[in-house]
Amino acid sequence: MVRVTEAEVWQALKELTDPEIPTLTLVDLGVIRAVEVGDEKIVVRFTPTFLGCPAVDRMKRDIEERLSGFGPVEVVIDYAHPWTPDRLSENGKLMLSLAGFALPDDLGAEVKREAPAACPHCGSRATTLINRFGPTACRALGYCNDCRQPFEIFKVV
Amino acid sequence: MSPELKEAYARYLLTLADDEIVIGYRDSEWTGVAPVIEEDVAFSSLAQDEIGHARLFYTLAGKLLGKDPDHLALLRPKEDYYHARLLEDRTTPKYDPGGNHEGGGDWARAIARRFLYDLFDDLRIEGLLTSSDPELAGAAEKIRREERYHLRHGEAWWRTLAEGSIEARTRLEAALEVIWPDLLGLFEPAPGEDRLVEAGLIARTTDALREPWLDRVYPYFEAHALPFPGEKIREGWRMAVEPRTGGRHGVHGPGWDELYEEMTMVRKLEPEGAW
Repeated sequence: MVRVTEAEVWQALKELTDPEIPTLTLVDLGVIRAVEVGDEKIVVRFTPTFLGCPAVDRMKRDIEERLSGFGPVEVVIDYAHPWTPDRLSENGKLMLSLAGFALPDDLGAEVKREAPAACPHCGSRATTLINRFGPTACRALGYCNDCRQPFEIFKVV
Repeated sequence: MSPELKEAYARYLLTLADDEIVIGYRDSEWTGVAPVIEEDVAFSSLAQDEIGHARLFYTLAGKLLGKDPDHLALLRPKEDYYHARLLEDRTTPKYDPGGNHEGGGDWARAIARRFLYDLFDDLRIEGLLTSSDPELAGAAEKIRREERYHLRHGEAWWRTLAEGSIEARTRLEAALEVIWPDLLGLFEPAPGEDRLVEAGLIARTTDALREPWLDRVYPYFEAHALPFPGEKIREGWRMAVEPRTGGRHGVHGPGWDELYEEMTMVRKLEPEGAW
């Protein structure tokens, strides 16, 4: 028996953060696509940023644990509607940049340019892409030619 | 879905999954031994992406077959894996805990295989974007976005090897000569693909990807004057190499004997273990 409203579920979900970027909530990251509160159970539709993301199981568990007090919970991985960068909220973008991640200029459907966005340390645009791949599937590596610091880029996929 | 269609669809999904897990596993072996540290990172990430795609295809197949995706990935009999033979060979030195590693490994072969396979996979995935199965169509869209990074990585290395040192070029040419029969073996279809096209689950059968793939890879050879074992005549591409097939029917080589033992070893120790 479920005794909770959809809004209350969303409110609870806002407490959960990305296991690898703890200042970013799952809701701001945009990986929670929908919440359906039924009589028998709560269904949460989840869409990972990368299909091979090893943090998916952890996030799934976090959601189940957080909502378990409300009734039976099912987290469904939604493959039919993939995650895209436009699912990041404005606050999510801010949190990513405060955590030291650069966001590419173009968050649209196509990757149009190789050079990443402004340096998250000094704001310079004189940056170079060092590696399209980084410490996790969703990150790439950049270098700032002005402040001479490396930085991470949150990939557009 | 009729039982015949369901069987063909599950088999196709397993074929996709097996291709991805096998190249993912093999490429993960470069972690720590790639020529430069950026490539340790890149190959780890590439491999992780492919294993993620495999997981998705095993999940979809598992729904049809009523089986656990981990079981499909790691507990099937050795002859029930349907990946292309191209993908199963080791390209790294064989690690020995005692320090007597065997073989030199071949980065050129790893790059040539990955890039030319990615170009094939891109065409295959393109044919799934319009699938009548919304989960497969959505997954294809996501995979394509991820694979753009793979293609750019591959293009850059292809150029580097083709136009780099004499040794790089020589190794690339030698690697290509070895893998051509297996490259053409990629186009061996899984049983029942015609039914899937009829049902709108896939747009094209795997053998129908051969011509567009040859059209697409040829310019990469031509641009660097790399030997290309075929020519285009009016009827299409005439290749001087015979394809090596069998993978789609579970027929594999020694590379698979070695890999199967290794990738299933832990799972077999504790088949019901939770991870």
